[in-house]
Amino acid sequence: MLRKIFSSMTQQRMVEKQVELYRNFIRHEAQIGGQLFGPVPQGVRREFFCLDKNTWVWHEEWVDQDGKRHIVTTRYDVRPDGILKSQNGHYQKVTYQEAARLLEAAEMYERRISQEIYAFAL
Amino acid sequence: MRNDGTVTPEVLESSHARLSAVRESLGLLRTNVTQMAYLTRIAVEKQRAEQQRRDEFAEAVAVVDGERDRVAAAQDAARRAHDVHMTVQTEPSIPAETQQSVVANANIPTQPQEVEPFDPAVDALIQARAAVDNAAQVMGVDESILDMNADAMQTERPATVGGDAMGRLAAELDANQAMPSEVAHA
Repeated sequence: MLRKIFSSMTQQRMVEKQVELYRNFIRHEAQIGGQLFGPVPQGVRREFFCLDKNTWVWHEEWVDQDGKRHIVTTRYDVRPDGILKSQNGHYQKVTYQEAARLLEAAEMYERRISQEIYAFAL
Repeated sequence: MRNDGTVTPEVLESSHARLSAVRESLGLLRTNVTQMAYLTRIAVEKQRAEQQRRDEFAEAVAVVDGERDRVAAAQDAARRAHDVHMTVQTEPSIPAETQQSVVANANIPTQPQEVEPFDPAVDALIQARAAVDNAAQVMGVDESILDMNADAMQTERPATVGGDAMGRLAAELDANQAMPSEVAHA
């Protein structure tokens, strides 16, 4: 009985550890992704990352002159029939130009993370 | 990673999972963008074709409008010509036979000529002058005298026609030259 409980706890911990590991990888990727679009201004936090095979996220936070904090999260849903963009709860289909820029950024992203994070696994 | 620098299987597994997810997403993105590029090109070509069709249609409409104006002008001219013709046709005063004979025989000038009004007094003077000329020629009268008399005839216009004027002319001629009475009355 104790062995069963112990084994279950170990498995649970391993899954959690795996999930935590996965999140850490994404955090690293997001930092690299945030630098793809040029230098990030002082006081601005910018992240760009692939959440899963269907989702890309652009996240930006900054504080304006009045000390007010702004957070904008843009999410791109890549579907077989098109790419949807959601921002502050509003969905819209992206234009060809925006999709092409997203693809360009994603290709740079894949190159950079392969070289800087996953070179050991290749 | 372990302390000795080697990679744990969990890390390796997570790395592969992450890379796979990223690459799969990249593949989906590429497919989407390629499809969008194709659809965009088709849409642009369709729009261009539609614009071309509109331009051609507008051009055709302009041609038709121009033709319509031309036809309307021609119809208007024909209508006006028809109205004039009908006005001529409906003149009832001269019978057709007479019209034909008049047209066949008359020497009608194309442009109206200015005709001096007939003045019987002037006509009488002209006839008298001709008679005087004839008489003078027969009798060998000096022409300067006749000219003087002619001036007098022109300045002294007779007030009445006929015998009075002729009588005065004869009297003047008699004063200058003896003249047989039959010449004066010729």
